[in-house]
Amino acid sequence: MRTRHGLLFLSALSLVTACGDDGGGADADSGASSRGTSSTGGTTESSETTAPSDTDTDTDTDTDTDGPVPNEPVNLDIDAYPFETLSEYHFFQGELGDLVPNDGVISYTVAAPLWADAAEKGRYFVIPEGSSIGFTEENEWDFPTGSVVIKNFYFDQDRGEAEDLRVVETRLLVLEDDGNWQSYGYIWNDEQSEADQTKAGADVYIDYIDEAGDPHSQLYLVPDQNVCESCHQRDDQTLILGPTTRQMNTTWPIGGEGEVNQIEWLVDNGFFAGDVPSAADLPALANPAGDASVDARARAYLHGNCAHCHRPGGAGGSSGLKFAVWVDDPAEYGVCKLPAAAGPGAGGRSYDIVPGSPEMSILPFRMASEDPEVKMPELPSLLADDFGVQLIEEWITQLPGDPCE
Amino acid sequence: MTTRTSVLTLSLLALPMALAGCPADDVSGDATESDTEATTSTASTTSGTDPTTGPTTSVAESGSTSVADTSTGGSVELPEGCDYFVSAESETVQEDMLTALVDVEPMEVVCVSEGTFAFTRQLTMPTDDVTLRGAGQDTTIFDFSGQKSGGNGILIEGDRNTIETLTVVETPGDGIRANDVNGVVFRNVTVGWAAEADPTNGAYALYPVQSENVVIDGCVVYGAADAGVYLGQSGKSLIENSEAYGNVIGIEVENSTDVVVRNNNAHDNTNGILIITLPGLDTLDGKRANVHGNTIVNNNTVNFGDPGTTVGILPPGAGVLMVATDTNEVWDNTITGNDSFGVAVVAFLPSLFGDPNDPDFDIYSEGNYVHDNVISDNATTPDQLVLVLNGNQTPGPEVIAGGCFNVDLDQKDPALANCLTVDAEQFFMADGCQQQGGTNTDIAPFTCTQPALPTESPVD
Repeated sequence: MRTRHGLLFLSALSLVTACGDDGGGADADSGASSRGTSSTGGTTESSETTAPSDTDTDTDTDTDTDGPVPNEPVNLDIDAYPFETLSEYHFFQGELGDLVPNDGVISYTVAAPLWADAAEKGRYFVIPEGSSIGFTEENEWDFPTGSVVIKNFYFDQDRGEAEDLRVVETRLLVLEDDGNWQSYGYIWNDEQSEADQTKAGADVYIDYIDEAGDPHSQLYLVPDQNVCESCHQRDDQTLILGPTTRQMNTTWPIGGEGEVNQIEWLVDNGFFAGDVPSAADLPALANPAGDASVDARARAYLHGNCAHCHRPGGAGGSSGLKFAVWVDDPAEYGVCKLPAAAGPGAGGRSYDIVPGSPEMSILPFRMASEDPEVKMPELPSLLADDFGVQLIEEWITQLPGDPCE
Repeated sequence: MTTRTSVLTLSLLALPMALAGCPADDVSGDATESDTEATTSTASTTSGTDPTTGPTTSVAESGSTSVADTSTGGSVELPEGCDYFVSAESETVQEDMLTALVDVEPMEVVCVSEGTFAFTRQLTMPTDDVTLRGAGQDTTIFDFSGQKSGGNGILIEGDRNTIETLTVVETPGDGIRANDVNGVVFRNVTVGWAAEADPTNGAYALYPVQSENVVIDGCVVYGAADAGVYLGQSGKSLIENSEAYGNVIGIEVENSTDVVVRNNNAHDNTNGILIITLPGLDTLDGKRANVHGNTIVNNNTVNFGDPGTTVGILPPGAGVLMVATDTNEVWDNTITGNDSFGVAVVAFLPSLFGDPNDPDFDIYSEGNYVHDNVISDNATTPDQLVLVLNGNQTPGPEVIAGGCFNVDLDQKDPALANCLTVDAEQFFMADGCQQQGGTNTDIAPFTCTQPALPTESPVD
């Protein structure tokens, strides 16, 4: 039952998001970690590094641990990375499968997540003690060297009433002193007790029961290590994608005690160097599945799913398409734009977006495809995101402007 | 150099580790193929016997968790000059290859045996200064016909990589793409699709884009549904001694500058060589391609490109086509047997290509210099689209100027004139922009010279 517990905790987090905002600002007295910013930071001090104490992350569950498990601190000695097994990092306390974040490991979410073949994701980061994050409003936050971002990919194997969550893989991004985020991948065992490092990735079959009770098997690709840069590299630098102001400016039980605005909580707990504007004054991506305007939701979706490549310097920069949410010129995000090198990806359509005509637009054609040559994003997913296709078609349908000539 | 065991051997060691979750130390150095099979079945059993998780997930192909660089075990000596060796004899060629490409460090060489390698994933090369070397251009074959993931067979992201002496076939998408690199060499590489004129073939065989210092030498590209060689948005590159056939475009230089295209054989494509500038891109310029010493013959294959793309609307029977591109030099080529025309220099005609929808885009071709070519036996049966341009002549003119001028600039600045030193009887000027009051055959305005481009390799 131990394994189930951790997964229930994990699912509890998801449920909280799904149920909306329970209000409340950041609670500076939450007992969560408080960080000094005066230290030099940036360098790890070996495995003896101790993270700030934060022991209240598992209050949603009545944890019945099988006796005391010694809680070793997170190992942030990145020079010793990668470890062969995920447990060696001690990102999670107690049994690994419980996925209870260790002290200093911060659970977070993003407003507009990348589709990953229906996998759900648990996201965490940890930064070295005494260090802090440089705030930027537009691009990726400036994390201190030695920071680690941890992402668990898991599936609900029973999509009916019951819930049967299984973690498939964990991806780490480690900020090395050359300013690049180095990636490492881990594949979980069936017992959900350990995850082993993989370089080549794996083809995994996810067996699940659908809402109607019928069994299915879904191929899921755990990416090989090199492929990470396809999304994460820009201008010869490897970046993280999630922790940006627009993606992080949303609510989440980041401190383990109810939903709060993530940026406010991080400010209140001393994670940033320097002043940060009030979250209310900062830009935010709409929740693509929320109730904002279709334009805001579609642009947020395109930002979260496409803009890491489709921007100058990104892997899809050569297309000339620019999907970052701050791009204002419709021609740059595809309206009446001729494709550059689409090949069969054009699907016989002449423009990326034809206002009012999703059926004449290349964009939803490629999003809906599962042909490796045509599909977008190219990697690493195999399946189309029906929700995203529908959203983009709805958006194009209502876009103003003449049909392209 | 330290002696290294082969990836072949190591992957046999690594597979059981990954599947069974064993610590590395438990694995002896004597793994065999039967060990691998046994372990695979063990993994299946494991996934079905855990009462808490139930029969849930199985690993079909496991990743290696080991590295090639080790002094333990191993029985295969590395070939001379190789730091990694991937053998077609392995049961886990894909894992071996992916792992080698993760482990390889700058200045190292990954060697590949002869034989056919079936890959289901894109091979990604993010490391600088890596060489991937097959055992023979026709004998080391990467077969991507079962590829499930990735838009390319091989994607190169590191600088100064070299791919040599191997073949890539049947990628669903592009063959080998180099994206945003400074320096890449394709030497004696074949990339293609067997199905003739099949629109489901991949778009590009060799696809360096937003790069510079690209060398393509001794390569063979065939069957691409867009371009066999596609150099896009790049600078300072050399394409030589290569053969392109059965593609929509044999060799395409797009939005690129300072490119030498020499001593190639482009035959039996829809269009032999295309020099073009496209709108809507960040690199919005293309100029100074030096195209010489090439054989451009019999490019009469039906256009099987996607009709939504620019090349998909180009006419078959095209030898050398230049569109919206400047100060290129085309000389000393043999251009024969192309049924629509030998050489055409035209603007990005909105009536043909669509509205560029880009205020910064210059639709005109200017300052190009065509001279001293052998141009013969072309335009015997021009395509319908070309008949519109050439005044409905069959046989038609072998050399066509589009007849579009930037009236504020072109005829005032000699440097912007297109100079076409060809036989007068071969020449025809269309009225593509309805500026000229009709077509004509007066070659005098095109009788001029432009400075010759450098002939040495532009690559650093």
